[in-house]
Amino acid sequence: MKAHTLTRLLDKQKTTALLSAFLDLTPSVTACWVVDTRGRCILGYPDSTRGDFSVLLEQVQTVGQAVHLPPYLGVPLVLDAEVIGLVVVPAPADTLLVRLEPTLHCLSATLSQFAACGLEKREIAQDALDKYREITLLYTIGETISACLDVDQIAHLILETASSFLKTEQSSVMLLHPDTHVLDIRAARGVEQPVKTLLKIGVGIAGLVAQTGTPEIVNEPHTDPRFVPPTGHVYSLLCVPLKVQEKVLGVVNVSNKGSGEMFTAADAKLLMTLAAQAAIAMENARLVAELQEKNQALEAALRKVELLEKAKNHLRKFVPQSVQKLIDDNPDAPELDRQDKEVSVLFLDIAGYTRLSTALDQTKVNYLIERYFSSFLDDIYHNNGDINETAGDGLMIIFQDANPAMHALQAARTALAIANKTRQINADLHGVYEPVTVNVGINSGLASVGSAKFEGITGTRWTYTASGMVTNLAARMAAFASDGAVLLSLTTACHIAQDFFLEDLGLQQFKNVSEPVQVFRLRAEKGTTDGQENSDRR
Amino acid sequence: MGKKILIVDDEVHIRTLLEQALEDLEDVGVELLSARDGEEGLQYARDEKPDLMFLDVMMPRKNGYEVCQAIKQDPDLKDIYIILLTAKGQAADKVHGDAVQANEYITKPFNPDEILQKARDILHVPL
Repeated sequence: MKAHTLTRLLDKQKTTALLSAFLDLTPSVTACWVVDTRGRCILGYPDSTRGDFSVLLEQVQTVGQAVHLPPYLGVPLVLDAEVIGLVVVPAPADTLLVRLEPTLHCLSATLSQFAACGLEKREIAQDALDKYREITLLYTIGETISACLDVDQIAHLILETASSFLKTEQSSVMLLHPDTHVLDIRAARGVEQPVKTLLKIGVGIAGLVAQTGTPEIVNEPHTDPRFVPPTGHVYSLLCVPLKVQEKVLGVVNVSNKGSGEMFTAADAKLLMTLAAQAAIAMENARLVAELQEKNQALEAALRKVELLEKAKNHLRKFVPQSVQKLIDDNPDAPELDRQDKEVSVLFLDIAGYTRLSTALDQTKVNYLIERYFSSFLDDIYHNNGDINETAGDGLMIIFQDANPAMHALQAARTALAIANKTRQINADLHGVYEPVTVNVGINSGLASVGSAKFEGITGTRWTYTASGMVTNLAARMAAFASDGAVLLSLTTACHIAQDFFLEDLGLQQFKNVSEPVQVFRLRAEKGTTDGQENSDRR
Repeated sequence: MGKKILIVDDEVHIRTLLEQALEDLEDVGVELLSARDGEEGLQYARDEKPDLMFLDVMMPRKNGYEVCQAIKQDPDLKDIYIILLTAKGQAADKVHGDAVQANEYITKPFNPDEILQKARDILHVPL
């Protein structure tokens, strides 16, 4: 015990009150003082201004009991068998001395008890202060570390804090490589030459802690067979895991308390708490880094999607609408396989295209074709037609509908609209270019509708079409037609006869078609201006 | 005459912790006094005229600001060095503390070692 602690152990008010009570009980004594182990009076009643009692103290300490050294009588204050001070009174006459001593011993025992209580209170207060210091430390480090997103910085922070609090000579943070399961020193303090030792999981104290996730206090580690000695002497070692839930990220090692003391369970608890905070911060840092990486990948993917979107918009111009719809409806697995479907197929052919190509230069031919075909486009789309193929001088248009009468009707209306547009443009270009004749053939019925795939060494080419006799015959009729006629098969004619004026052209024989086919010429739709003219003509 | 430090806080554990943090100063003759609320703190300040006060802000019977203001307005006491103890993150405390002329602020939870060092510096007590 320090020589001067008595002032801290005795409560000033209570002690003074006790001295006062003692004097009341012993009228023969006029004053009473408490003297510390330096011989100084620290408290007294009625005053505490008395001088040096070091000689009296020395004698009491020597004999271990009350000493009468005129003019004073000194009785020891004892705590844990140690003299921690004196109670001193002016010595009365010898006759009174014998009667006084027991009371004085009582006073001394009570004051010693006060001191014992004071000491206990101080010890509790010191313990509370140590705990408060820990809380403050954890609070401060928690604030700093939680805002940190750099693993190395977190490792250094944790070592700085642990070293200063546990007063250790050496410390290090080892992180476990997720793939190789090897511990690598990420940060170190107090190690003369940071050793880049790689420690496998399960090897050495650190390796075992990383494997089990359980902290280890190894005082005198050189006697432990598991210990892998580093450079320099290690006389005490504390190793705790850096753990998030059950996942071990690495370990924190601290060794050699500067004071030469061994590590305690309380030290392990504190380091565990620090390591837990560090582990969470490290995991956060890893997650943030991962998130940033994913964000970058996402941004790159987004740029790619934008490029693909642009490419898609260009490609759409070359893809039939029905295919676009099939892909839009089910992008993962569009139904492109061939199926037998009820359709009307319209073939459109520009008569004399070869002659036109010879007479005009290609730019003018292209201009004319685009001018005519562009003018047809709105009517085709308006009637749900789907341009399936374009050859230089012709178009193949497919009309699909659940109701067979409907697609035939739409094909017929488109054909009449095309004939009208052709006449208008011919009129517009009168005197500039020779008029153009557009012949049309329409057939309805079951066709094999879907994709056709041509695979070569360099790549695959897909087309989407309607094939079969229905298509063939429509093409033949278009080729057969002349003077801008719109020719229909019997099937188509049956579907639309109610609404259109038709002219029966009788049976016709077509190339590669075994039987003669009955053909009709489409004149006009009933109820329209053209239809009225047709009706009058009849 | 020995120097005096007065601790004013209504929470007994904070008073005990501060006393314990400052106990080394007792060895060099610094007297530690403590009061349990603002009213008692102001009375002790008048009676004992401490050199340094650690004064909590949130207290019954006169809060820390009121005590500080009363001391700083008293010509006999205005030289007492007052450190206000404020809760962490209460920026308004500092503004209010400035208005009542507190000398310094320490936020809770405080670092005991810093408290001791600060007291040593203010009272010019060497290690």
